[in-house]
Amino acid sequence: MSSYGPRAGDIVTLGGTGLQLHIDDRVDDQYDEFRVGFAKTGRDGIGLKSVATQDSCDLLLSNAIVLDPIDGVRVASIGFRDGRICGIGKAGNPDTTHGVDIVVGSGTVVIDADGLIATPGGIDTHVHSLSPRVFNSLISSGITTVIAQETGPVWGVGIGSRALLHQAYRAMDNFPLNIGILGRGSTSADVVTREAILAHVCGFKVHEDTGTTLRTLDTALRAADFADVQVAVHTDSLNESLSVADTIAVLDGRVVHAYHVEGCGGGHTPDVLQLAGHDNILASSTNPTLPYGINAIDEHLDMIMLTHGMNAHRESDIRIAQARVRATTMAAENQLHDRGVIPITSSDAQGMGRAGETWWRTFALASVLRPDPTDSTRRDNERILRYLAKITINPALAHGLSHEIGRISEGYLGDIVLWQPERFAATPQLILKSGFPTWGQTGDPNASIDSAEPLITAEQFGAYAAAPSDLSFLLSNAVAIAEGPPPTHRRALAVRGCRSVRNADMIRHGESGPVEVVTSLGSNPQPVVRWRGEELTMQPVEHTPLSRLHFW
Amino acid sequence: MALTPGEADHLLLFTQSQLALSRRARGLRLNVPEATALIAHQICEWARDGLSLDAARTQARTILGVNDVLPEVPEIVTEIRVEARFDDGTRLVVVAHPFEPSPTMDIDEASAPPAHDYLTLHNMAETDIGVTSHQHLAEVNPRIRLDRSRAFGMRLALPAGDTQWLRSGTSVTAPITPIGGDRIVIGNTGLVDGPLDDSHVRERALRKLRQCGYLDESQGEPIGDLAGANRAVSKIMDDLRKSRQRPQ
Repeated sequence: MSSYGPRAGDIVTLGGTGLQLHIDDRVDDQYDEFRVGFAKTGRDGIGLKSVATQDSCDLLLSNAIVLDPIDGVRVASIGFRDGRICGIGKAGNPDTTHGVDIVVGSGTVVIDADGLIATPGGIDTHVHSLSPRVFNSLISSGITTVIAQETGPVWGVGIGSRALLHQAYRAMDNFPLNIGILGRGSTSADVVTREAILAHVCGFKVHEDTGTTLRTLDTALRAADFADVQVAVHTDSLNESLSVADTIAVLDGRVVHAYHVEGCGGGHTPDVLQLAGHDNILASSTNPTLPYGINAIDEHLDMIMLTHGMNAHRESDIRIAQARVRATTMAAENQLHDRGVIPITSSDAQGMGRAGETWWRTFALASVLRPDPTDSTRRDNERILRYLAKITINPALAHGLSHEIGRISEGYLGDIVLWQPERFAATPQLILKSGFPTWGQTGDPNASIDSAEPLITAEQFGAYAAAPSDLSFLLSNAVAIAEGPPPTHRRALAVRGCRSVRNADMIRHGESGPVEVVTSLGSNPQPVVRWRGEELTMQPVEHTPLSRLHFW
Repeated sequence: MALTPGEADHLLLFTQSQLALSRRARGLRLNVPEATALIAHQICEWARDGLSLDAARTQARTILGVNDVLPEVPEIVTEIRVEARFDDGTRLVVVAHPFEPSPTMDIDEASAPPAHDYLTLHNMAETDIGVTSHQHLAEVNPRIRLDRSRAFGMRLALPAGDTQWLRSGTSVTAPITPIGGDRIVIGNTGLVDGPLDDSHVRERALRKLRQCGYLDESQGEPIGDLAGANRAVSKIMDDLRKSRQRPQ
């Protein structure tokens, strides 16, 4: 590899995942590579043009390996102006360099990203914000947008109270994340959903612990249609009121986001995974079952008990918890990800998932299921982009955010994660929030260089004082925004398109066909799962990539 | 203890290195944070013991070999940087490829654009001078003698960001290539400040360079002397001052 980062034709290995990224395209910058530093080209009148930043850019990421879930892989520079991406391409001074796409001004600051991978910031649509420290864990792993459901150690799964929502938003102003909260959707009365809509929720949660019935689903969906927001559902694990076919009937073609569709996180026992095969159901997984590992079964019984107010000494509770833990559906869920059927991954932080592990578990799964790991010329680009879509553009599409975030594309908000390829999906190098350095690797604060050990994943300036709320959106809804400003310093973003998005719209996913969970009369706790005539299964993995290598 | 933030951070190195040692004692191969901390902390301890920076840096390679760490680790931990308190104060220690017994030097490949022409640069200054890849050659240091007319609109044909180092009193014949893009040079001495292919801009700039005393040559014949070259920038400043005093 050259000192200017990879060239077309190079293969970049994504560290411990072993995934191989083929560089097919690099901007035509040979002999004119933009460099900053002593004796480099980034100097006034040479690589820099003496124009105001409104005619150049505020900040430049130079020569990064840009991964966009739609546009694919390209080595290019990224320019930012007023917090947004203003250009992707060849950077420099058009006075002295041919084919410049991004004018670098004398006033522009530069981040040398040669050889680093740039991805959109991760979007975690399933977070139980039971303590503020959960957010630190999320950001440190490369997440820049969060859809939360609580404000502290409360029984939330959606908040209905205007007073609590407003206080929560004000409390969250310190975090450099785009933040939205789901309203309580498990209700029979419009007055409850109306209070939440006007208090700036970005969607609703319908959860069986607060009631997933015909009436609650229908109430939440009508409210969602009214405000153009999404409904996240945790269906009836007990099949007490509805079976899976009934839930599908109640949805009546209306769109929902089906959380933890495999079912150990909750949902119709044992066949909730069927939901993944419907065009109006956007399915997601939570991270502890990605990839399906040898200890997954053993940890989940306790996890279910401890997150759902259950008693490990009551036979009744043990029985219903055990019914949620199934090897066959965990294995099938992994395969459905690889085949482009389940389009979204999320954490379920502190509610049966881990805030800081969505990036690495998503790409660990991509690694585990890659064919022929020993082939050194294997091309994993499509696989890498499919898995990237699960944590960026697809959750953005599902929750009405895809016009602002989830991509590296001109006009999009400058939420970017930079990774060293060797540490990809494990530890971010630097996170830009709205084009401003906000979090990342920080070295010994007394050292003569910025990269002396111990390197710690920590705050940058974008995480201080008023910057987090200046740099971040409140994810809200158009009805509330029309009524008045949000109770926070943040700009409010009206989510949109939530009611018309379909599974077929999911980027590098949308593979159709029923997901059959084969059940029959008589107890069948480990049902076979079929898709397109094939039984979907896998052996649990003994070693999950990245885990042991990067984390102690 | 009055610990400073940097010292508090170094305690994390100590803790992590103790963890690494205990895992190593159980026969485990170390991972990225364990291997990094063990080496970085040991360097700090050797500094405390009174070793020199060079001795600590050399010995750092003996701490862990490739068989002591997980197989992927040498490709990830390619360099360890840590600041340690040596007898003469805090010093930066950098260990490249820390699992290899002797240091290897990585040389990056970089390619230069094809030569359009060649030009000889004579450094008449009493100091060495560096000329970088994309600098407009006609405007380089007045004490370099070169055919500035042939250098006009040209740059060195070097890989981007590379430097041609000219030792004092020596000459180098270097490949050159035209400046690209819209071919406009703004800034530097201000003697060009315009489109390179505009004949008025070109003639005015070359005339001013000579008038100010820049060493030049024409068909191999030297123009100007070192004393004049030494005064060239002052002359530009004199002209600048005069032009600013003129009524607008």
